[in-house]
Amino acid sequence: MILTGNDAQKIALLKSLLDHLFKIKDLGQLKFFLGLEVTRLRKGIFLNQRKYTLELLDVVDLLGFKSSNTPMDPQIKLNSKESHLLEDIFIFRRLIGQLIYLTNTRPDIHFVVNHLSQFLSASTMTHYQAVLRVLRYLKGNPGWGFFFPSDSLLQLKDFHDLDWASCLETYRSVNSFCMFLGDSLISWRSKKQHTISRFSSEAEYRALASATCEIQRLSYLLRDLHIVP
Amino acid sequence: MAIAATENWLLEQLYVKNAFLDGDLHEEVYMKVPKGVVPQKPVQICKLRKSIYGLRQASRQWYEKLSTVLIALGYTQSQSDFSLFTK
Repeated sequence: MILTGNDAQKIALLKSLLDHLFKIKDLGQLKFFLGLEVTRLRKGIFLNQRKYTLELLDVVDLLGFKSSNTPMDPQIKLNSKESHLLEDIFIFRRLIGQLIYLTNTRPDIHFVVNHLSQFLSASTMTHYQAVLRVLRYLKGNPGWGFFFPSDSLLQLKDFHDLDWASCLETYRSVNSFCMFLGDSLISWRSKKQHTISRFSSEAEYRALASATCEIQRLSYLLRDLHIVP
Repeated sequence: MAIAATENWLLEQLYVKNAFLDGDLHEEVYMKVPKGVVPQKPVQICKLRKSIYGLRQASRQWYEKLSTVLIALGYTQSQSDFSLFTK
């Protein structure tokens, strides 16, 4: 459980109340929470999943592989129409599951993980190679994560875009957005749209609508935290 | 956490010991007598008085207990994120 606030006394009071009711173990300053490592610096807060990444890389033997600079090869178009399916599909599925949890602090692999997770039912060696490529990319920089600067403004910013009809099998478009609170990235997504858009402007409207929903959600959340952006 | 950085809020963490044992049960649940306990009668089973690990409703009962306690302490549950409580 994480507690936060500007009043140290009230936090201590809540802790003692909870201890009285449930028996708690006070772990002090937030450092490690569900695989997320939190480091407090004078200039802000740093968040990463270095330990989780290294453990993930440990399971797959990558000793002989060079690290890669990019998570994906733009030349390779993945599809689910190949016939030679992987014999051990569970390794692939487990890796994808672990990578999905890693996207909590790694938006840079979000798109490729989302793309690969669409082939869980018909995964082939090509897909497995693509997963290895992601792992090789992670090997190069396992400590990357988020930095939330302390001098950032509390202002919501949204960037969104889409790739029209980019899915080769369904011809649906892929949405993406990044929401910032000042300079800190707080929400992001890359997702295939539900319906086919016949015009790129139609797809743009859909992307705009889903970004608006997210802005609405974040503004409710900020209101609940008594923050006026 | 981005807000905690700019507003210089404290960030603390804690762990609730055996949290799932704190939940209350609404229905009658029985279990077999665990190994190592000698029953007084030949055919005997245990009735659970509190929630226990491994029960399907364990996590829900703990969540319910914790939210009731926090709300009783004057905290407001966020409508957009049910695991956020503010005061």
